Amino acid sequence: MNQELQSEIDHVRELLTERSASLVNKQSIFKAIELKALYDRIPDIPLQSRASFGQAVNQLRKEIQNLIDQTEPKQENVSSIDVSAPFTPNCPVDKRPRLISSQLGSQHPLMIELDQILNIFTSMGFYIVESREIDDDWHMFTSLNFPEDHPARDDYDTFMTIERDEQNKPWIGPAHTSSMQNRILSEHKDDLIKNLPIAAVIPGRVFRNEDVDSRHEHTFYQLEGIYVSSHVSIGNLLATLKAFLERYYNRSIEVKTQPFYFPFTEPSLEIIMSCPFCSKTGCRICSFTGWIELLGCGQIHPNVLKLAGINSPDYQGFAWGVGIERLVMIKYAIEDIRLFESGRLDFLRQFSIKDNR
Amino acid sequence: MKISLKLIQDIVGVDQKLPINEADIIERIGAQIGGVEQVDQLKTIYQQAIIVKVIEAQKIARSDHLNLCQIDDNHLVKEVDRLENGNIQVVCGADNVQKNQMVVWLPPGSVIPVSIKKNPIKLTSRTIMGVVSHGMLASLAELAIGDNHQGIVVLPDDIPIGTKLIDYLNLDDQIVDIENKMFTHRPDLFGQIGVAREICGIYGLPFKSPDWYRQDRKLQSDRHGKLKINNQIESSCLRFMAVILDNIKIESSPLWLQSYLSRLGIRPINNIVDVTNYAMMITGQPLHAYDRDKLAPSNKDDNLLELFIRQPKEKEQLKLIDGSIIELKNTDIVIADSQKALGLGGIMGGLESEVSDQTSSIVLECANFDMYSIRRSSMEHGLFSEAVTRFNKGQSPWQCPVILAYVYDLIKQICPNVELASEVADQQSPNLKHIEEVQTDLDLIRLYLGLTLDDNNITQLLNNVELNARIVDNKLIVTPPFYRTDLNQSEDIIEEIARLYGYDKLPQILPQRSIVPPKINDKISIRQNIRKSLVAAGANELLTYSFVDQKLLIQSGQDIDNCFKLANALSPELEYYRNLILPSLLKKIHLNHKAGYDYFCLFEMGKTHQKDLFDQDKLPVESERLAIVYSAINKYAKNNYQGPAYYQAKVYLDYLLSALGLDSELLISRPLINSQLESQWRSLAQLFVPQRAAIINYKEIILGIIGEFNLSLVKDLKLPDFCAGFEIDINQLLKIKPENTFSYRLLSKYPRIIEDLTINAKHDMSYQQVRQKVIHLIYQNIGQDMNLKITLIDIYQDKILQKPISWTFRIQLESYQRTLTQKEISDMLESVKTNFNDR
Repeated sequence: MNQELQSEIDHVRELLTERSASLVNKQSIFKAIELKALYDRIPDIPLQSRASFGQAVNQLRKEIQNLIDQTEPKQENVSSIDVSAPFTPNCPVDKRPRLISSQLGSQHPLMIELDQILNIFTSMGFYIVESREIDDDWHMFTSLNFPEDHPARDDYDTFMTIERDEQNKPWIGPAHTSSMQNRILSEHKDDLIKNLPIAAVIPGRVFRNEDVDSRHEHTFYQLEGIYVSSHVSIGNLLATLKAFLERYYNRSIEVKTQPFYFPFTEPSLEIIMSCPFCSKTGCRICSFTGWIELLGCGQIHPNVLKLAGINSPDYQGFAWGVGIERLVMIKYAIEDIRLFESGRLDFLRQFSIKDNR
Repeated sequence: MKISLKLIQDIVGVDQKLPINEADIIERIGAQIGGVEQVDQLKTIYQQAIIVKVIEAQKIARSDHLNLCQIDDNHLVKEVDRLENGNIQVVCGADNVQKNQMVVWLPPGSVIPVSIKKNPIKLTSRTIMGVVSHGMLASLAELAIGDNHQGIVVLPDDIPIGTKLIDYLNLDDQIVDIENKMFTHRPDLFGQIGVAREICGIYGLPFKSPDWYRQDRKLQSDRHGKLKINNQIESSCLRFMAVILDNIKIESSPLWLQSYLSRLGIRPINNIVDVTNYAMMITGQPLHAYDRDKLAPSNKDDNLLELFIRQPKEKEQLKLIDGSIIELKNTDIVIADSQKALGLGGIMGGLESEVSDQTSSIVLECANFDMYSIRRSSMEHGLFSEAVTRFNKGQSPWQCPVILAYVYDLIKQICPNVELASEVADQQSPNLKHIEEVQTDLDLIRLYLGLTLDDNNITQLLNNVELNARIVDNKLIVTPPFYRTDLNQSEDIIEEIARLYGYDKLPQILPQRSIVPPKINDKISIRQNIRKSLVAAGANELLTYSFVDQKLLIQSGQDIDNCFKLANALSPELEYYRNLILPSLLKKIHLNHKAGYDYFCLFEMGKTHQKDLFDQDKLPVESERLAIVYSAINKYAKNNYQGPAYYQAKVYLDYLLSALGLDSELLISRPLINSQLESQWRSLAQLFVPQRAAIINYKEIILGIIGEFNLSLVKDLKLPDFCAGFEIDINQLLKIKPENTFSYRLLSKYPRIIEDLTINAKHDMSYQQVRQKVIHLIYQNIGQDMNLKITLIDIYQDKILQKPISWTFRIQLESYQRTLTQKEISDMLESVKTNFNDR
């Protein structure tokens, strides 16, 4: 190999060595066009020096790799620090750790809205109980009047674990917050005797094994509500939900119903509300229909009450479940449900105090 | 579930005319029967199709298959060029086209019906092989009535030329698709009759079932000893009726039948299969027909056909009509002859005994199966059919006789020579449940409705849908008809009344309630506090999935065997329940730096699980965690910070605890390196570089771990060098959180002293030790009854690390008792300094 080729390689070595020092991702040095150019030249080198040139280029690659390996920090070499101190010795005041501007901070929109929703229901006399993220078959299905092998179980594309409980049933990623109904009813049934209603809302994360798109997520938040007392009508249910919706959207809202089926309510209904975004004139949010199918609800099935030790028909009640994402998407005209769990600051910081500079 | 408004109108009958306004019917269906998914207007699809006569049909010489035809449309279509004789010229590729046939013509400008939903093809007048062709002559497949592509459809000769196809086939119809889910508890609504009855009910019109649809109607036969049912699994097969029919001629069904089946979403096959399917669409009851000649006779008697309803034999296989071969499972219901399995009962028939063109004798089955058995078996094989959809809702076993008789009538219409060739076999399981009457307290009805309907009104609503309601002694008594298996208790009856009356007409009144304030949920409150405090410190709250992938668990040094694993994960990225929050948070750092955010602080609160922790209810423990991470790209960090990122995380920790009202003097950061940890914290410890991490103790309680992340995690997740965070247990935090966030100390009347103090402490003394010693010494020197505030303002360390470190504190001091003298203060400061230097 002649002098000229050798010096060419030396030049690239110098160049890459210098450049790698400033690179964060050191491995990216191997994408350097200068290195690629050397490889590209191999076929054009006269036969007698081609082999040695090729070896020299490979050798260069190895050297660079070694260089990177050496500069890569090793965990054992990290120095210990005084973990109780607030900053490092000799640190000038302007380089010390500090909180960042509150203007950049943001609560997650689902949590902002959930807080507001919970406030409304608290003001209406409901207490709050959270749901679980792993539960058992009994709470997810059986206690809610879904017998084993009932076809209604198919409507809940439920996640199940490989691990099994003592009944040899898989653990379940609850597909609805209704999984808490039996617990709350059992725990508070004595309130009924004292003539107090059972009134609870249950926020929680629920899961559905379904394909994800702009309107469907496998993970979302639901708010369940239950109300049990000795005089509960279907109209009480409709009035309660209407009152909530009007407070949440801060405008008057019409609700209408459509029959539905849930094993744990009878009758079961779906609530359709007038679009709060366009007030029924038709817009993107309501698919230009003026109405939005919002939530499922109904009068609690007597079997559910009985399974919790509550006498039916001495006591009746109603229950509902509403998706939080849906409420929030309608409120802010958010187009894609996947944004909520995307972890993107582009999305999240829209919910911080606006910096208008 | 698709319904045809035309069929519904036919069933309702001429006496009981439904409102003309179909839009209103559809809206009422949505409001009082179930959510409408889709409405197809058949009229618009078929409006231009005309029945015409082929006047002339001749092969085009240069083509191998095209025919040049002249058709007569009775001059119905205006905008088309006609031949001199008034006929219209159409080129037709079907080899069955012949002179004098009555056929369906789609004129230019019309859209081929089968193409409408996918990619509409609009017909034109165009030149084919040098001749002009106007529109096309259509096959059944092109008309979207069946999938017969074998030539054009040829109609009977007696239809007047120029009849619109719409009029001939009753296509002035709307197909309404109602969500199946609504009918989970209403097996009767899987038939058009059931829906017709409901529609009358919601319009307040009395419905009368068709004359043939009566409980007492059954098929009679005088043949004996030809057919026997041997039901060995009476818990799964509740009723099995069958009859042998001879003199069957298999053909295509009449067009009206094919047309109704297609619009309801069923593919026409042949007259027998179509009739059974049609009966199913009308009544909800699935049926099956077997080719009699393919069934083996009884072992004992060659003249006898014995059908077995039995469990599968070991490793028994069955080839289904869809061509697939399944290995039968213990949960299956097998219909068999003396030698072989014929079908999977209630789910799908077998291929071998299927009705074919050669069939001349059939066994017609009308059976009832336990809904749970059907679902188990269907799920086990992943087999879903129209029969499964209906049987797993629990069809009434009491409808079998009348429906068998109905199907026989239909067959007789189509094959007039059909003959009964056996007795009507009827095997009933002792598990058959009779439909019982239901009594409901009128007061309970009033309570649910929130209004008082008069007695007549209530019974009328119910009797409109044939529920045999009457009132006796303030009780409503309903005797459900033979096809209603869903009415078992008062609430079921109340649902009927409320729905038929109209939910939207019920008075909407808020519940009366006591004004007892609801109790506070501490967990929610503390999370609200945490959230608001961190946001005020510029942090961004994130939510990430509860499910993570194996890769992330391994990258973060976790034991995957201690994480719950999903059996039916959507993808490998979502396979495990997470046992920590921090790794999910770390995964969101790179993408945000890449999006142009140089620095940020992210946090998330969520639940974590691990397999070895259970609570007192034997449920997996749900640990409530808070994770925070601060991250800055190298360039930003270099310009803005000096020293390890650890301290940046610690600023947030100190701030958070003080925002929750905790005394930061009681916070102890114990180095993680060389520390012993309980097992529940060991998994978290894996994330950190031990030299740059600390266990967060508050008094003796461990809250969590703070630190910089281990280098392989940094590399794998592309974290910048300046990145640190912590994860703490919110339940632990709840244990120590004071009731009030703020505490008040008396204001002193005496002047405040502000002095800076620099002490030199040995290099191996930690800040915490130095600070505590300083505080201790001050109090010792000057008395306890003081209000003391000390703030670290500087640390100086020499290049030679073994030399003492200088700590400078700002001290604010005031006595509650007296004015402190200058001398007292300087003596005190001197004493503190000396005390350090002495050591």
